[in-house]
Amino acid sequence: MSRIQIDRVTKKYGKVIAINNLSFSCEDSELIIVLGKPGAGKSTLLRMLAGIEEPNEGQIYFGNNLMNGVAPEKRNVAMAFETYALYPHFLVKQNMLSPLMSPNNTIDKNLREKRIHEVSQLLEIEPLLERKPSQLSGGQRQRVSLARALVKAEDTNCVFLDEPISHLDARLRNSLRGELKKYLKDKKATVIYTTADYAEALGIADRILIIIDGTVRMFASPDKVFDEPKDLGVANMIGDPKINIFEVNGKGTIQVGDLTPTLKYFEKVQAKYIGIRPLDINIMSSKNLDLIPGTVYVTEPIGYDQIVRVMVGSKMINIKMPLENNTFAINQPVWLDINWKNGLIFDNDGMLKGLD
Amino acid sequence: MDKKNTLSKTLRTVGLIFWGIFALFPVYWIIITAFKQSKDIYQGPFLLPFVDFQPTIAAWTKLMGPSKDQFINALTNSILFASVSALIAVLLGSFAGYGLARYSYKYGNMKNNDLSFLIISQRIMPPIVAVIALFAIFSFIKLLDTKVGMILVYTWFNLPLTVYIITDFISRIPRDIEYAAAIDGYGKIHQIFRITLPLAMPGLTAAYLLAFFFSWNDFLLALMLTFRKASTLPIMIMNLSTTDNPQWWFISAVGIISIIPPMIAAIVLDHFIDRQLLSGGTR
Repeated sequence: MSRIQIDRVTKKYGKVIAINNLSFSCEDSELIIVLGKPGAGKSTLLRMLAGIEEPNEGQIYFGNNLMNGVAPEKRNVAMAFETYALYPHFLVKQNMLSPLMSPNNTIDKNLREKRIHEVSQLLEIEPLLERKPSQLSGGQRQRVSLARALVKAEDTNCVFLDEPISHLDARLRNSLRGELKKYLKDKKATVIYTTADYAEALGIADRILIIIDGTVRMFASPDKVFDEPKDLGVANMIGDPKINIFEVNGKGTIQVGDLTPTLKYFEKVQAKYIGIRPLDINIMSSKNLDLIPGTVYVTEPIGYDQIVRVMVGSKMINIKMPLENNTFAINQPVWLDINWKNGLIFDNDGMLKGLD
Repeated sequence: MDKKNTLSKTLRTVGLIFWGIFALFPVYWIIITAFKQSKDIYQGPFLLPFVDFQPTIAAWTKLMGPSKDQFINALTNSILFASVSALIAVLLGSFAGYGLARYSYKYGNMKNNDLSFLIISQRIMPPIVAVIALFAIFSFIKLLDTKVGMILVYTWFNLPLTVYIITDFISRIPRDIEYAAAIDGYGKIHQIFRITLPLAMPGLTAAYLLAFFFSWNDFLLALMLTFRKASTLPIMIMNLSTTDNPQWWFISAVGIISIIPPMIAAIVLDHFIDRQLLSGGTR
């Protein structure tokens, strides 16, 4: 458990720049989620922190100690690999015991058993302890890989989790999200955790580090990331379905498909793009000349909610609304009531602007 | 559907039986020949013992009698050269293989692939080309007809093969598994003995067996570099057939013996060749 600091780190693979001049720091016992699309450089970042890859430039500190050039086995960290990296010739239990019996970190036998019991119960892998990894399904292997990182969570400098629950089935992923957060918080572990799932990030992070193309795009608390995404790139990553982005042409004229409604409200604002969340649009099935006409492309009823995708000209608009109101048929003409006042406003460079 | 299955099954069975006879008949032939007398061989072909001809153990009594010393010497030499040279070749091959699989080298323009090619390219040259030079060298450094010399020459000849096989095998072991061990707190030596070595075992075993078989079956190098003391089974068999009247029954008896050690090696070591060993480790 210690503070972790990354100072202007760059990592190149040949000519490809995976991480570009990236800096951030993580406080003791903080849970940081690194959110980014596949290929954004999340895994590279974790692997540099763990000591598997060396940065080309920049420094990594654990507490006050410079970690550059220190071998992974000397860093006292735990990690769940995206590739699982289980020991195929060991049983599941032996895999989990491995970090507890290393030459640098041997733990009393009773305590080992207790840890294994606790973690395997948490991850629902107790019945699998005496099996070989080859006898497990993909999701079970991922849980074993996570378990091997968690048994050591409380005695390490930092726990690195590389998409640790990405391949579990949806039910388990959702239930485990909270359990995992509680476990890591109970152990007061310092955690850096990568994911491509914004809901996972919002749900469990103390702070979210958003990486796009190897650089930090935003580093803030989950509510801040959700309410005030710093730019279009961040806004596009948060929320499901995706936020709707409309271009603004001149003073208060908005491009919605082929239509160009003019809104007095935006005349005073220097805006280039407006982002409207799927929840901020209402659908009317009766004709209304004040509203924007479109046709339903497809509907997806999901429990209490429905996601409706509406075409206005060639522009597809994502809408999320409660299912109770009414339902729509494919190709049905509808009229959209867009709550422009809740829109996020972005300037010419795609950066978020306040309304004032 | 059922009919088609039955047909293909029948065809497969017939094919396998045919192949089995093709492969095993020579073995059967030397086994019965080892129990024949000269008249049964030259008046033959006789196929069925007790029906066509009366078996005799004359060849075996000779093998264990007058020819015993020569035979035991050749047999122990063959076993010693094959097993020790294969062991050294696998040991050195693992060092080279691990290095080539896990580190990047650059000597001038040569990178890992070029180095691998350089090593395996030693096998492109037919051994007959090297053998004259080897004879001259061995005679100069007094290694002709010595056990050490033969172990050395077989190690030299097998090393490219073992390096090649082991490099390929180790590069199939995902590096993340070794990294996981490092993260768990194990240093390089532990990583190798706990993780890499057990996972590379099938590759090491396969390399050992191939090296063993090569040395066991070698005729040319033994012919040129040994006279008597360091002679091997193939040389003994050849000497038996170059006498005025080849003693086929005796040659067959030695032949049967020479099948057994590699067979035992293959059966024992096959236990280590688990082709599924790596499965389950990664996604």
